[in-house]
Amino acid sequence: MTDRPTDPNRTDTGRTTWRRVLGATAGAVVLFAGGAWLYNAGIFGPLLQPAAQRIDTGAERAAQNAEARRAWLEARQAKTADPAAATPSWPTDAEGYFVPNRVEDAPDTPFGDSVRRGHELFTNTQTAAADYVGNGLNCVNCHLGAGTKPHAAPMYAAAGEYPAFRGKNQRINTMEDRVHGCFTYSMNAQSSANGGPPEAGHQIYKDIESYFYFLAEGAPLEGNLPGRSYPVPPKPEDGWDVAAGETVYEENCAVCHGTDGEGRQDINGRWIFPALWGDNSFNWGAGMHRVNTAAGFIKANMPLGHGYSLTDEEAWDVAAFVNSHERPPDPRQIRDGLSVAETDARFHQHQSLYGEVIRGDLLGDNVLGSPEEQPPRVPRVSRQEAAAE
Amino acid sequence: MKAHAVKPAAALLAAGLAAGPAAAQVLDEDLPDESYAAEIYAERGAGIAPERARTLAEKGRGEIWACASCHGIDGGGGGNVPRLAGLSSGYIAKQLNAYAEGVRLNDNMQYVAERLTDDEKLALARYYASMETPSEAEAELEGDLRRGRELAVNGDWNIGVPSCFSCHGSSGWGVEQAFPGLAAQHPSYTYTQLAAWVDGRRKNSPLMLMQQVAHALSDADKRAVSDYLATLPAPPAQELPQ
Repeated sequence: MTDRPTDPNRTDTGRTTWRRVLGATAGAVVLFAGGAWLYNAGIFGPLLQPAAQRIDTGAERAAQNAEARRAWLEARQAKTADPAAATPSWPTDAEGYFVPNRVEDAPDTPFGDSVRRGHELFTNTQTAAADYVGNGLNCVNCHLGAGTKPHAAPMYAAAGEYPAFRGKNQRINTMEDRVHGCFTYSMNAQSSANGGPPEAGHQIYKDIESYFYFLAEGAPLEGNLPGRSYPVPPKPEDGWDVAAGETVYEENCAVCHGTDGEGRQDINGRWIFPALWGDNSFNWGAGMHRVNTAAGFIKANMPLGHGYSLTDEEAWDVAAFVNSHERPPDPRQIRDGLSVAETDARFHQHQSLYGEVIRGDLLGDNVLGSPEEQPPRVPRVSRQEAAAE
Repeated sequence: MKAHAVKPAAALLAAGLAAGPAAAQVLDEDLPDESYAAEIYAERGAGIAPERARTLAEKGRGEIWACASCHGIDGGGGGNVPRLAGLSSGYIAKQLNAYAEGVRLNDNMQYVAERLTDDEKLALARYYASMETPSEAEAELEGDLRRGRELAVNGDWNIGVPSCFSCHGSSGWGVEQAFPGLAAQHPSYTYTQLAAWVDGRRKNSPLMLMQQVAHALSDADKRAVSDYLATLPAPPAQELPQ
């Protein structure tokens, strides 16, 4: 380049300039066309998306999860064969959460059959355990993804947490005891055809436990898995605000759950959006009536598919609003023949509106304290049945 | 429906209709109204005889061509034109208004919807809601039907997607007014709508629920679920609010 002639009398200067312009133009056209072709072919797609915003496809996630479980199973088999082999680490997904077994992979054995029945009980509780459910709920209303979604009280995490001592009933609880509690309170079994939860040792417990155990295969037995239970957000400094919660409810919840918390059924009579208060919802003994528990569930999971979209304060306020309405009575109040004040003192020393007067009504007071004095319960009929009558 | 929740929504809605497209844009951004719109239209249509819309649907009126010329005499649709038979009246009326207001983009539908009176829109909505037409749809996008069924029944929480049926009903026949039936819909139409939620040609979903889902689904997932839904039995005639 340095010995390039600089004679100002060169006669080909003009031609050289034109050549350069033509060459540059042709090069630009080639680059542009080539780039456009590559762009249209989708080569740059993944590169143009910021890494943080790129979402794996469902197929990619499924493949990653399957590989995690396969690698774990292989390491476990090696460890069984040779105690000196490396200790397997539990299978985790792209975000670090435990990867549970998939029910479609349950073995073709009597145990696998029990797992499948348990899955059916868990997802279609209204039909599979119809005699023991006294409201419009299914297990999966609170345990999303059939009990596999992190931060929605996943059963793979709960499976290893029992037996455990529970303050609620002041004794050691097996998993069966725990599920018995779910039927008693969350599923309001007192209003079911059976009048109470399945009896001790019932096949329903065995099948549900098989399902939980299968989900949790490979999880550590330590009871503190990431994603367990619900992540309760910090409580607002000035507590919760029921009136503010009503606004949150109208703007974010009513489209699905109804303006009166009544939930919605489809034309098959099947509950699609669960009732949040009233006769078809959980009773005053259920964990979800605690404002902190509901705030955690709502924060992480509601509106469905829009988890973590509400602020901490909104989650607490709307949890309080939902639980400031009347719902089926606390079965312990009926069992022990207690007043609301007595029930409140004995069983509701936690973050709850039970026993408070809201909008002129004493919450919990929809029974008179003894089974004989209870108002007759109206049998539940689907809308189709009602129309046929 | 509790009066205190509906009143402000209904008032805003009425204001939006009176003030025309400029106010309608505000409506679109106001989520509570988006949430309640289908129920409000359904209530407003109560008492209107569906039969009043038959001539309009079958023969058109002046510069408005007949609905049936694209959607079929039985409301069954075809190709990229949706089935209307058995969708809820509130949902159909909401969509007609969304086209008229330009918050849902489609030139043909906007042309027609702009020229319909409020009463005509409500009558047409009830006319098609009360129709029962067997499915004419079938899988046509080479989607993976197994994956489509998985998404419809269980969703995929690995990508944050709830199941279709957790909002659209256990048979995909819709739930009350706001959640339309999906079963027996033509796959090209369902697929096009999922794409429209992504690129913003359609944004009138309560709480932006569908935008979130459509963004998370891959192209293969969109084809899979559109094809699967097309294989389901068609919804029965809707019960009309009286």
